[in-house]
Amino acid sequence: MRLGEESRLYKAVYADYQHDPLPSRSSSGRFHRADTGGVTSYLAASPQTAWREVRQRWRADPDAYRMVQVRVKVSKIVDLTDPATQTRYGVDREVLTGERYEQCQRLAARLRAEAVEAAWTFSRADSPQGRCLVLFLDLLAAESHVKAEQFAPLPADEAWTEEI
Amino acid sequence: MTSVRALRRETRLSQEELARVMGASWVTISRWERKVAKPSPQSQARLARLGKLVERVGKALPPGELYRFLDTPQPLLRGYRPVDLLDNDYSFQDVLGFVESAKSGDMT
Repeated sequence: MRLGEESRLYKAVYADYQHDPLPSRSSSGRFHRADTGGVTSYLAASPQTAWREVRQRWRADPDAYRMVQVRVKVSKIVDLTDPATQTRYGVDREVLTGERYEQCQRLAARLRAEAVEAAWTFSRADSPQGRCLVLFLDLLAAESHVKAEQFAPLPADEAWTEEI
Repeated sequence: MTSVRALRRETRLSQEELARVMGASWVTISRWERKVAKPSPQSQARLARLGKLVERVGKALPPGELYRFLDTPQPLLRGYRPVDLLDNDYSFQDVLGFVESAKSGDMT
C-alpha cells in the first residue's frame, strides 16, 4: 500500500463482532496499551495471514469467525519492514515479531505522537512473508478512510483452515 | 454460587478434566455436583472465573477444545497455561485479554 492509494486488507473476526469488526477489544496488544489510549486495529495483507494470526493464539472454530475485507486509504503511514525505517525507530524484525510487546508498545506511543495513522509490520504468525497493518483509528486524517465492506464465512475447504 | 454441574455441562469438560482445572480430585468434583460437599470460597472464586471465561470464549472454540486451550502454555501469557491464571482477578484479566485479542483477530 502506498501513500494515498486505496488497498484491500483482511481481518478474521469473531462472528458476533462483525457489526463493529475493526477495533481491538483487548486492553493490551502488540501495538496498544490501555494507558496510551486511542483505538487500534490490526489488519493483514491476505486472508491467509489474517487467519494464521488467529490460529497462532488458539485452535479457533472457523465457523465462528468471519473474514472481513477492509478498504484502507491513509495519508501518513510508515513501513516498519523497511530497514531504513527500522533504523530510524531503533527496532528490527526480532523486536517486531518477538514474544514480548513492550518495545512495540513504546514504538506505538512514538508513532502516535508523530500522528502516524498506520504502520506496516511483519506477521509473527505468517513468517516470513506475511504482513500486517497496524491502524490507529483515532488518528485518521480527514482525507483517509477505513471501511469494512465484506463479511464472508471462512472457506469451507478444510485444507485451507487445517493447513493454517 | 456457580453450579458445578451446569458449568461442566456447558464446558463439556469431564469430571477428571474439571478436577485438573480446579486442582481437586474427580471425587471432590462429584461431591460438589451432588451437593454432598461445598467448594471452599477460594474454589468458588475459581469456578466463577472459569464460568466467566467460558462465557467470553463463546463459540470461538470448537466443542471439546476448551480443555486443550486451558491446559496449553501460551507464549503470549508469559508461558503460563490459562488454567494457571485463574487464581486471582489480576492474572485472570490477562486471560480475558488474550481471549478478546483472539476474537478481535489482533496480530500476535
